[in-house]
Amino acid sequence: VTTVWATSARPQQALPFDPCPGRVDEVRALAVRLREGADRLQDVTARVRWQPRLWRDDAARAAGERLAELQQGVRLLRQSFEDAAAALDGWAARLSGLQREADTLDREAAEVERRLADLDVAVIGAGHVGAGLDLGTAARRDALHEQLRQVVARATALHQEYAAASHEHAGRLDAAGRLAPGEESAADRRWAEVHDRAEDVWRLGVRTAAPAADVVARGAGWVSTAAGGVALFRPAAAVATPVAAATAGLALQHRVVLALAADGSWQAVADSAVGVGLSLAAPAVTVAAPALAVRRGSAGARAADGTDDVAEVVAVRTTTAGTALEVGAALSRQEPAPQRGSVRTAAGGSSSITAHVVDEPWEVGHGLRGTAFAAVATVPVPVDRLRPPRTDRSGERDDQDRVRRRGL
Amino acid sequence: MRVDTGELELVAARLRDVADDLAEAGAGLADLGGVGGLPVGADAMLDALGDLARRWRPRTESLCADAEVLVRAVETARSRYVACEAAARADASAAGDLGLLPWECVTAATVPSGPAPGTGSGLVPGQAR
Repeated sequence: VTTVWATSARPQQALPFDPCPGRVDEVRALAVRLREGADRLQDVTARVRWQPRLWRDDAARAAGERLAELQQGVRLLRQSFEDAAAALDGWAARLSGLQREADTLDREAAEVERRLADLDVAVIGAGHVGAGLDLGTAARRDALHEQLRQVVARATALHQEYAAASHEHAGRLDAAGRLAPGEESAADRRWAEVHDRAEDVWRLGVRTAAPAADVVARGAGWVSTAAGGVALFRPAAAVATPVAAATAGLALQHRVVLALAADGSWQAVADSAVGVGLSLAAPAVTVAAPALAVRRGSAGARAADGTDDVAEVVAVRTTTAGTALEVGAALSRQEPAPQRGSVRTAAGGSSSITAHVVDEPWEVGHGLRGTAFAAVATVPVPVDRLRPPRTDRSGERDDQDRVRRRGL
Repeated sequence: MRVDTGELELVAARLRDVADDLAEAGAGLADLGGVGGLPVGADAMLDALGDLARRWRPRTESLCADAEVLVRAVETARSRYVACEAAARADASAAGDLGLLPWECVTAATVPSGPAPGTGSGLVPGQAR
């Protein structure tokens, strides 16, 4: 319900408030003023009668261009005044009708109050004061009070109708004002305010949750790091890998919350996502490398050409690199709490690329190197492309083959 | 080239009227902006009126300033050509020098002087009036 503007409220006989405040004559006078202003702003083209024959040089051309701009501006201003005057006229007519209804309600309320007063006088005259009312009188009095309550309720409903009508006509006024170039409307500003308010509430909520999210992200990062270490050992990799991935994902999720709370450190979230990928890749190679070796041939052949050994070396190096990186990231997370809303390191294996780009450039360089190293180290290397380590026995075999091919 | 200086004078006068009307409209908008005393009723109407005034007042002032610049430009050009005509009447050889008049030379910051417009000798851009 629109707040009643106190200075335009009219005195009421019986209603406790004016349901439809405002002065119709003043509104109409205002519309007249606006319309007169619009009339004065006649079309500049017609008034000035600019003719090219008057004056023909560079200055004349520039003046003609400026006059055209002036004409356009004045035309808009005039249109705006006319539209605003029409809106005010419409409001005055509506306000007049609403106030007639309000006056009717006020008279009804005054009539009920008069009858209540008459009843009181009758009661006093009958000497019933202090002795209680008879049932009939009490019932009549209750009925009058109920009637008065209903009148007030209708007045309240009328005020709501008045509020809705005022918003409708205010919208027309707003549209008239919107003809001004380069200005946002009241509706636009209200929407922007609502948006800003909602954003404030959202940020407050996220910031309230941020400390808990930070604890969870740190804890999950540590668990992910530990799981990555366990995944170094092939028998445990099958269990440790999903644990590392799940906890890294949990950390990433909470890093997103922190990023939202910290004015959008989405680079940190991306960094964290890289960490999730690395935490998955390093242990996965541990599992994948022997499997590739198995596919290449029999166990005997693997043992003979040394592929199994190479696969294991690759897997161990890869997981070592990933785990080392995870440990580094976990250690860097122990640095002071994020400042300026920046989110510290990624969880589960990446590094602190995004942390304090301005304050601590060395850390950025360190993080970039670490990430590059991890990216190279964790690329799954096709085991069947690895050359087996050259041994004396294989050299002898090669010599024998060459002799055989030459038919010696 | 012949310039109708009488018509230019009329144009300047009409532009001045436009500028005056715009100034009056700006003043009216200033009154409208302080609608705290206008009993139009609901707050929504008050806000809308205030917004209307707030949006249009600076724009109206800008239009008024533009109109005044045009007035000065036309008046300056007119006085310049009046001087040229007088010079031409005194010396028939100057009649052919009614050449181009740059915009910068007819705005407020410049003063036409000398016998011929656009010849470079009489117009001094940037010279204060």
